[in-house]
Amino acid sequence: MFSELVPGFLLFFNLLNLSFISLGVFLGIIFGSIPGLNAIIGVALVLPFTFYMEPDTAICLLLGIYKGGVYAGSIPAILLNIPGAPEAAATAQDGYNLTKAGKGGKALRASIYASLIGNVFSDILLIVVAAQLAKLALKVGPPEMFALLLFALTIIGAVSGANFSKGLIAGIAGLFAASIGMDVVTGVSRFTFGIFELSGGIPFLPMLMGMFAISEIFIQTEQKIGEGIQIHKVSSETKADSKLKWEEFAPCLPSIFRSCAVGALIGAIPGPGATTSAFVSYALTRQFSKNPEKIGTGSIEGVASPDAANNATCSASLIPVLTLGIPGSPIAAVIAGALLIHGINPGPMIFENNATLIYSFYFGMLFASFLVFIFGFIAIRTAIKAVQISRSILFPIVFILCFIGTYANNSRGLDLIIMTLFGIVGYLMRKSGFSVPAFVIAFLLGPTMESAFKQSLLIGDGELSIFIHRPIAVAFLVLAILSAYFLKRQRDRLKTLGF
Amino acid sequence: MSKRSWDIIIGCLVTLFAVINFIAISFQEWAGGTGPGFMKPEYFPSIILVVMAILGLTLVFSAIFSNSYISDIKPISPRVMFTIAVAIAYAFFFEVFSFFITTTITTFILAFSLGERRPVSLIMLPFSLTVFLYFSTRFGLKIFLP
Amino acid sequence: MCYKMSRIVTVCLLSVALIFSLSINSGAADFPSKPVKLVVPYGPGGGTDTIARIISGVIPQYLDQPMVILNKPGATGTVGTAEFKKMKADGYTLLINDAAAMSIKPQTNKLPYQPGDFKIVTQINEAFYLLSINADRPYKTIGQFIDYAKKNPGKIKYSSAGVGHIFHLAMEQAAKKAGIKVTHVPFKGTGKAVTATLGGHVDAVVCYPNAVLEAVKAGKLTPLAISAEKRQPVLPDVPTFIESGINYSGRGWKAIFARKSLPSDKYEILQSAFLKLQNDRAFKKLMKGLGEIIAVTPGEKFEPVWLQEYKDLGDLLTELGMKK
Repeated sequence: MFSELVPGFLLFFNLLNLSFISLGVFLGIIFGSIPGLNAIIGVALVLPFTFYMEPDTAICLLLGIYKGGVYAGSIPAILLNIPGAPEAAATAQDGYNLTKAGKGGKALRASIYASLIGNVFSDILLIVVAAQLAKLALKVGPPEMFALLLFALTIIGAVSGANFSKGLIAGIAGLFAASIGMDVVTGVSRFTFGIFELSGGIPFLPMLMGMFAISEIFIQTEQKIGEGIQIHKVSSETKADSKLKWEEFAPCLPSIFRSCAVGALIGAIPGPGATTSAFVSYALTRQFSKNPEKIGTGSIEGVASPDAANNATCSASLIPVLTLGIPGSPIAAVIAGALLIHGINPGPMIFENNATLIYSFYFGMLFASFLVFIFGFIAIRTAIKAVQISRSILFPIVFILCFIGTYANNSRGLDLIIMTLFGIVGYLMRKSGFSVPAFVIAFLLGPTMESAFKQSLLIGDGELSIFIHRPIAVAFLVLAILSAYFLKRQRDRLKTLGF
Repeated sequence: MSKRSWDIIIGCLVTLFAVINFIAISFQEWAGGTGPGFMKPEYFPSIILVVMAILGLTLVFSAIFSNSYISDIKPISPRVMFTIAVAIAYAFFFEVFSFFITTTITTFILAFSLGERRPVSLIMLPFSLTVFLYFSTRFGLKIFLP
Repeated sequence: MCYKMSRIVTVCLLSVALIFSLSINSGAADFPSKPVKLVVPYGPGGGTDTIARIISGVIPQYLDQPMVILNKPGATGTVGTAEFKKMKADGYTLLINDAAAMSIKPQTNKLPYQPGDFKIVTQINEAFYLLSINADRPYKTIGQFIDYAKKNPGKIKYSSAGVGHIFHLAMEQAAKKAGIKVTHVPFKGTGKAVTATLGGHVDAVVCYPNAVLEAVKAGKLTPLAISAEKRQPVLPDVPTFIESGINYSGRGWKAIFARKSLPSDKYEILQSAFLKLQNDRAFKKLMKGLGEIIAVTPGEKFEPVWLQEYKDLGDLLTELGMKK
């Protein structure tokens, strides 16, 4: 295996590849930080250009965009409570509260360190155990998926905020909203209320942008002119508030590593993506942290753990495509397409036929992770300056950007209408104490859970016992029950503490 | 309005929504090959709607009997309603009128409502933003705005 | 004060941009005089999208205009197609689509369009359906598969990209012709269907060969039969259904569509540009990498095939009880 290490490095390490990785990360950061635009658009856009490049250069460019894009969504999430990408929506919660407290610089730094750890963790995982991890991921079939998602849904309890039944209502509403549209297993359209365009379901990105970004803008306009959030004081007066001390970061490390593991696992399974892993790890952190009451109100841990998770999912989502030839996410599919076009077939044989290329790919990944780290600091500085602009200029710009960014995905006016409607819904929800993350998690997980259930029953010939016959499924079901139990205990504990 | 009454209203609305949809879905005819009971398209949604109705009622009752309501809800200020109206109008007219017109007007209105009074900025911002966005999306992203 | 500077810069940009825009729209009475958009009714990264992006990279030299991809995903390609129907029939917007949204869905779901709203510019590719099984199963050839299925009706589970999709219908047709009963477990997309088969959760999968090629080469999946009329070079050892005694053949395809009301002069210009793809070296190389078989047939020749398929599928759907 290591015989290819040196040739791989030499293949990778040339000026062309290095410049394209840098270009990729740069583009990725720009795409990621604009609300509505994401890495997938960037990657799809440059795909035709990659046809005329060498495979290693093409991969460098695509990887750079991917990693840059996934990280950069956190920047506006922290500074403005407007996620630049769906996977950053969980980061916005604590990140923005930190900014309001004048500690935005701290939050941004926590985010970038956590992202680096997440990236490198799953890069190494990919390099070392990709094949084994893929085998493990294959064992997750419909019954296991159902149990896993059930477990993930109990997590909603952890993010439902003060009122549990309101959180549950938000979750149920999310499940309902997700069942609008064509059902996978039966092929019929449900709840479209006669609007044909809804038969594809409520599009996720406009919904998310509406619930988080547009509702935030509405909330911002509530404040009187002159009074305002402390955007100007992002870095506060004291240096201490803008820098991140080791003593503050170190306690978060257990959460970070747990989030890395969650992110990598979710990434390796085809299907749920970075957004799911960010929310699930956020909720797990809330569950298991030593200071659960601080999560959600502005804690470093609450910023670091979703960011570690979503960046860990980044490289991990390439595992199914590299080891099995099956893309687990749209971006992995584009990267696979780019490889195929160059005559390289992703799949189990790739390690034998193109070992040198794979090694240069690994180096490219690690390099991209570090470049994101370096460019990220520059991005942070620029972003901090950018949000110092007076609110009456900044917010119209952000508002329009949200619209343009969302429109850029599918060029559909309906997306904008849905975004605005969910902006109103999100605004009302936030005012009334209903948890928006609960809605979003349920929306994300619901459909897959339903189809997993039906698929399991089909496989099991209609017997519910199939769930009991599969050890991994049983394990997740037990976890789900335990999680619900611990959740109840946590809530009671918090109640006695007065939260 | 107090938080309590607002919660009660929401609870009732949620239950009503669930019940109406449940009735609607029970009478729905589905085309296509169906299979055993769990495969029917309305199986899962029915469960969801039933739980939703129960939760709505739970909310109503806990709102009536709870002691932990302290403050009132801030009413929706006219400025927010105005912004919402602007957002809705922008979303609807985005594809109807040209991008230039809608975006320029919206940016102008928003900046003004958020307190911007410097005439130079008020005029320059909409135009420069609109032009910049149009050309960067057209040539950078190859997206055609209306 | 850098604030004022940025304003000045923007004014300059404004003027440059205005001049630019004027120069673009001036003159050019020829068609096409501005970029041509290709609507892809699926999300980025899918098979159709990748082919569309290959086309968009190669065809500008024949059109003298760039080609822009518009993704409009939703409901197995139907939402994008419905949106396409609403676009102007001026020749500047085209659609790439396949049988799922054009032949099957109009007959199973209530849609705001029907095949008669469109006409085909050219076909692009054709692909055959491959039945493969998990390599650990006791049956190793199509003959053994059928024997097992006859002895255990409904026990074999096969996965596909979705209900009412081409693969599902292909398998149902083949099963009917072979006289066996198998259970369909639908997944959302071929990727998940293949994963389930690799993991042993289902026994078989029906999809295009390029989705399983690598797994087959690694010995994790065993290909049983392909729906072509003769053996395919991509998998020369795999028998066809016909060879194995099952009188079934079928093929998938993708084609470029235009609205029916497109004027014929523009239609011909577009068609002649697309027809040149058949012999374009770059196109051939890129498509070969994807494992696709190029079949750029002019619309007039392919439309009857499409309409015949529409009719045949209609009969099958009625039998399966899926017709609306």
